[in-house]
Amino acid sequence: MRRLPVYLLIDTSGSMKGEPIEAVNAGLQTLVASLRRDPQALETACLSIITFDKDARVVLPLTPIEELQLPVIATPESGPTMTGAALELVCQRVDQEVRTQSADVKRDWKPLLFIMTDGSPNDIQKYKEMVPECKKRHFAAITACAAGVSAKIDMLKDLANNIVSLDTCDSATFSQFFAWVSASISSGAQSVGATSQLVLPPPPADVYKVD
Amino acid sequence: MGNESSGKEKQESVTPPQGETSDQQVQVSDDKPSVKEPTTVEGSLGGNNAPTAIEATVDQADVGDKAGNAAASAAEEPNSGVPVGPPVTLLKHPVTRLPNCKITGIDYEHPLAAALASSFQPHEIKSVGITNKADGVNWAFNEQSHVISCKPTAAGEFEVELCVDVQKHERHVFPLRLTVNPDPKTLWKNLPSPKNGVYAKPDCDKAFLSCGDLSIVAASQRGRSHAQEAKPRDDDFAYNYDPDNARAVLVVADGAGYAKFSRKGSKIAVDTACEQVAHSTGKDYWAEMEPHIRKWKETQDSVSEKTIQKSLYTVLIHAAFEAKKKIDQEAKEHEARYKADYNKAEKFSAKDYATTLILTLAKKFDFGWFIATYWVGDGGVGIYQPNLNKVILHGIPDSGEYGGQTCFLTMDSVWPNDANVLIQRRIRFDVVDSFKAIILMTDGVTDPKFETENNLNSIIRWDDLWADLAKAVPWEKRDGSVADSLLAWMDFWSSGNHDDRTMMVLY
Repeated sequence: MRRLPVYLLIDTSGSMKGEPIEAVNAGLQTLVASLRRDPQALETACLSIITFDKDARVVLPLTPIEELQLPVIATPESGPTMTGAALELVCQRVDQEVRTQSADVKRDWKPLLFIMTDGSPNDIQKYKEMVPECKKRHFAAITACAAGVSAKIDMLKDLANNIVSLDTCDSATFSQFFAWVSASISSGAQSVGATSQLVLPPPPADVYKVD
Repeated sequence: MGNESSGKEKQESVTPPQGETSDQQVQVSDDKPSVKEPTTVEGSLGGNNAPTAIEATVDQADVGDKAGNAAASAAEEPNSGVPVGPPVTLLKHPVTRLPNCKITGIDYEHPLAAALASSFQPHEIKSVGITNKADGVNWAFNEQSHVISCKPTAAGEFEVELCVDVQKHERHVFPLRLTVNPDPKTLWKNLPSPKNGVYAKPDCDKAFLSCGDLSIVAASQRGRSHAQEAKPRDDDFAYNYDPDNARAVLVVADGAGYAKFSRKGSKIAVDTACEQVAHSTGKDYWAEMEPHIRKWKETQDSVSEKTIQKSLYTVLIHAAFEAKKKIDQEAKEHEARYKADYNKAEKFSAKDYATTLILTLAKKFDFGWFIATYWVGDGGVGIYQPNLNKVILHGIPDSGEYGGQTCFLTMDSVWPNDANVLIQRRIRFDVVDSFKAIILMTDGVTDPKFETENNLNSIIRWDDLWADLAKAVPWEKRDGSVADSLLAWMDFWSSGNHDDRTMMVLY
């Protein structure tokens, strides 16, 4: 079966502690629940979650929706945001997990990347190195979400072809964001034969598109 | 799992596990002092977290003899007068997640023996059982094999408690949570495409035509991914048979999923290509070609080959190119119409009409069948000869690095200036004594049935496909019912493969 690989990169730096991370966990539950109800996503989408704070880690390897069990995402008390390390890790994972270029296996659809951050990278050098590496992975879409007022949108512009911003990091806003991620994944699962960049559905009210 | 129940737990009389919970969609609503949510370690129960001792004292002696059931029966007879035994400590563990049940309606089972063995010494365990069963799941637990099973009828999250009674008067309660996925078959919707939309097309199509001893049958079915969204079918087909010359033209096309007018692109492509080839392969053409084809069959010499290729360039490649030009023209005209109708400028290009094309020409001679194909894009076309245990894949599919990537008729890159390059890459011809069938398919059929490009060359896969078809399609009837059956077959279920499906067979 042809899979749609979806990578979610989630900022778990200290500033996400408390309500924001609770909202992320709730949002992920909603996301997975709605993907289970979409037949195309249920049959084709695979989800991986990478979190990053003082370093980056895979908290969920690429897993089909039907087998998926969400881990609970936690944050440290405080600490830096190593966004560059997260990008490096996602590139490694894509190289390992996404099936391409063979006449013997069923190739995957182009993967989708979502990155959510509430700050700016502390490893700027690494981040700048990894942006072109990410581009080489041929994501059908790279979508960045700047959560809250401290998120630095300018840094994300180099990386993402879609940027959205959230004014607040509360559960209502995150819930809207994850509902939109779900709709985007569904539309990715449906754009069969896409050779061009994926066009995402319009975001909901509290998720602002940044041009 | 540690046995850390010290004596500090609250003293309450045991509330025996209730027989059920009222709601199917149980979201661990535990009114007892509960533990922090989930975290499971595969293969163990309750993760690495220590249990929380929540209650103690059981006012009867035989808890454990019959596990949870014993407690339940004790509950029914709370004042049975059984002598009070030593207090039993009730230890509630964190939630353990069972592997998901893939879809509703199946028999689900999961072995817990290994997990139990990792938590307890075998001699420690007095008995194991389940309680707190959610409705609609039909939980069962085999006390010998320690396999938990169920048959969920609804999707959702369900919980059951595994109770383990051990020697030292402890009852360990492990809430087990199970996620049940809906059956995707029940989620797909079949919404008709707009009847009066731009470039409207029927959601399915079929055809049958007698061609002397042989027949042409075709069917085209909109994919579930389009039906779900009320989008039109992007595939199309066309055919032509000239009884005077025993010559058939077979054409299928698959409009690109991302291109907004690809349903029209595929329609223009099949109609134009079919008409062009039919027009240019009359009596005179065959009279001229026959000696070359006959000679090539005998000697396979390169002079005849070149002559045939050259003629196919003018027949097949010109027809395909004419189709591309028609599409370019349609894009321009549509742009003008759009401006006139809506008084709004909008750019349309051939890209909006992107389509694949498989164009096969087959002609019967007294020395055999001459078959030639022009192919751009994915899908597949083969000359199926099971009596020789052979299939001739009639060309090379176009594929990219990722799934779904292919080339389209409408791309400039498939039209190199060098005619020889074009012939080598896009044209195939053969002369065969006979065949069971010539089969043309779009990727909606080849993806589920062949899975990979290499398999398109596998006779086993073609045999499987033919056997599968034979179960559903009464080939020998040679009437319209064959097309009906082929169209019905085309609705076959294949997880994750829900593109438009089109197939045309000359047999």
